[in-house]
Amino acid sequence: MTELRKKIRLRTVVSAGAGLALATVSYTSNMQVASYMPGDSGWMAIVIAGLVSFLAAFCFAELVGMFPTAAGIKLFIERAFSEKAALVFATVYMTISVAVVGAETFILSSVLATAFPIPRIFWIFFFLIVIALINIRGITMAGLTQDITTYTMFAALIGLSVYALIKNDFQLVTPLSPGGGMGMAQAVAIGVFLYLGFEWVTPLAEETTDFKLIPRGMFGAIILLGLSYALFNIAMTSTVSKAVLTKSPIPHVLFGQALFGKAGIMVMMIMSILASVTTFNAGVMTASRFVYAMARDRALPKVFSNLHPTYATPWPAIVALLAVSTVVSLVVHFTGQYKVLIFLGAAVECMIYVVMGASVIGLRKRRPELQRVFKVPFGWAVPVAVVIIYGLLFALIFVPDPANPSDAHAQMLALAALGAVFVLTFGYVFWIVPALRAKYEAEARKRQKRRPGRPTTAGAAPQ
Amino acid sequence: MATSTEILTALADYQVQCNGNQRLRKMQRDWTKLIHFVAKETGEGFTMDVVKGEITGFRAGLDGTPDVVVTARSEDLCDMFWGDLNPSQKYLRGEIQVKASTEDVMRLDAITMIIWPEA
Repeated sequence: MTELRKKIRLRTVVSAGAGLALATVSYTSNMQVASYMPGDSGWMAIVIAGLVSFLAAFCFAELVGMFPTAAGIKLFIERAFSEKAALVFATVYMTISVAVVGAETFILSSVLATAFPIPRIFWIFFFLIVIALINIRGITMAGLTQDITTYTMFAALIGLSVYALIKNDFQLVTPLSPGGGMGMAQAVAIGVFLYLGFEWVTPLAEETTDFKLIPRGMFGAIILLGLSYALFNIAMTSTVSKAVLTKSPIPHVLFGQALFGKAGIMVMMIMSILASVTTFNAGVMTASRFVYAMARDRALPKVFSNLHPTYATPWPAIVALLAVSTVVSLVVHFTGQYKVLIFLGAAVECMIYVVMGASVIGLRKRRPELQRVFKVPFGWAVPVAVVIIYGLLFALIFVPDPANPSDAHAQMLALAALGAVFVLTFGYVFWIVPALRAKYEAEARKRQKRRPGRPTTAGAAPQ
Repeated sequence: MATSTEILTALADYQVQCNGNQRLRKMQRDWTKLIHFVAKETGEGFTMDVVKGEITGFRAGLDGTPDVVVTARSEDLCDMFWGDLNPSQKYLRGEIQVKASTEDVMRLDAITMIIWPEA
């Protein structure tokens, strides 16, 4: 067995998973969770969402153990079900993830517009151009830099929360009240969005010293995220009125301002930039590689497989994705409907976990002989639980809550947007992809084979 | 099943194609890697040295500590080096395994993409 020179360690797997999940939009989502819970009890939903995420992490671990590849989600679904199902779900997941990057841009630009008297729209374009340049240049955060940035952000988050709680003499309003079951369940469903990204560490399986670091890293990231988010949730709601926080796209800035005045705004601005840059970069990088791979697999037009002549990065894919993010950011900027993307992100995250649970079940039935480096304990219980729990949470995201009537419109818009993305993806996968492949395969058949002793044509078609 | 000699012949052609492609050399000019190729069914290994985008050597056997490890059927390795196979498709179906950073996986695929864009 030949082993790699450079290896990723547990510390970096945890920081990568937690860093990807912690975005500026996480602060807004955190308050969205709080709005469905009484008093200062929002932390309970966050902790439960974290515990449920453990179940999903188990499923990811079993799947990655079988197929340790950056092709990840698409490959798991393809092996468990079919290529068309894989293309549909992976494309919907990636599309919504890119849309969430648009929401992230909007929230970050709102933070910057608060700190500096420059219009928000400037910041939207500024950040998207910066991210485009970083990605086209192929700049990635090295392991140690990633570790230092991520752990500093989490230390600051926990430190600020503890400081705020001490400052408020721990005067909390009903910190242990789950309230009504429905509100609690919906808060947990939205809470799932806070953990979006921890599973993106699975491609690191190809670079670790030991595969077991991936499940351990995912669990570590979930614990770190759960602890930090829960503390921050209590600290924010006990410092600033919840009614004010839940109506703002930048609740953490209001919190920082309440704690330290102008200096607090600057601290939150720095934390937002750090959180956004790590999430942006990883999000755009992952999605652009996915688009490139789809094009190389002849499921997208060839133009998306073009590479930058100097940096070997898929620049047409990066530009296209950032164009989508720009449109989403501008739509949010002009409509103010940022909550739609929070509901949408949470729903897609629940959807993909359902599909992962189903993939574990499907592969155990279809491919029982495959070697599983990691097997989810307790037999069928965990994957079945994942399918049921996340299926219910998915549905709950779209159920209007009488206690939050103002969210009903955003919930319906999110459902409509998800439906539209699904319909378009179905159409693309079932009609356009076969036509594209037929065209490219006809071209490939005309090409002479180079390997000596082989027929002169028709080698490059997919097998 | 491709023999070791067939794979080495394919590698020799691959070296000529890569080193002769100016666009690829420019793109990969910062890329210095030791790559191992392993044939799944035989367990045979091959080592390739890439220095600043140039393939400076290759040989049978697994030498040194690699930056990239590619595992595939011997036939797929052979076809891939001759440019008769799109490695991305095999990779996405889990038939070719690559142990490497995401950037290295991308750069490895870029080689085929640049030399044989129609494959």
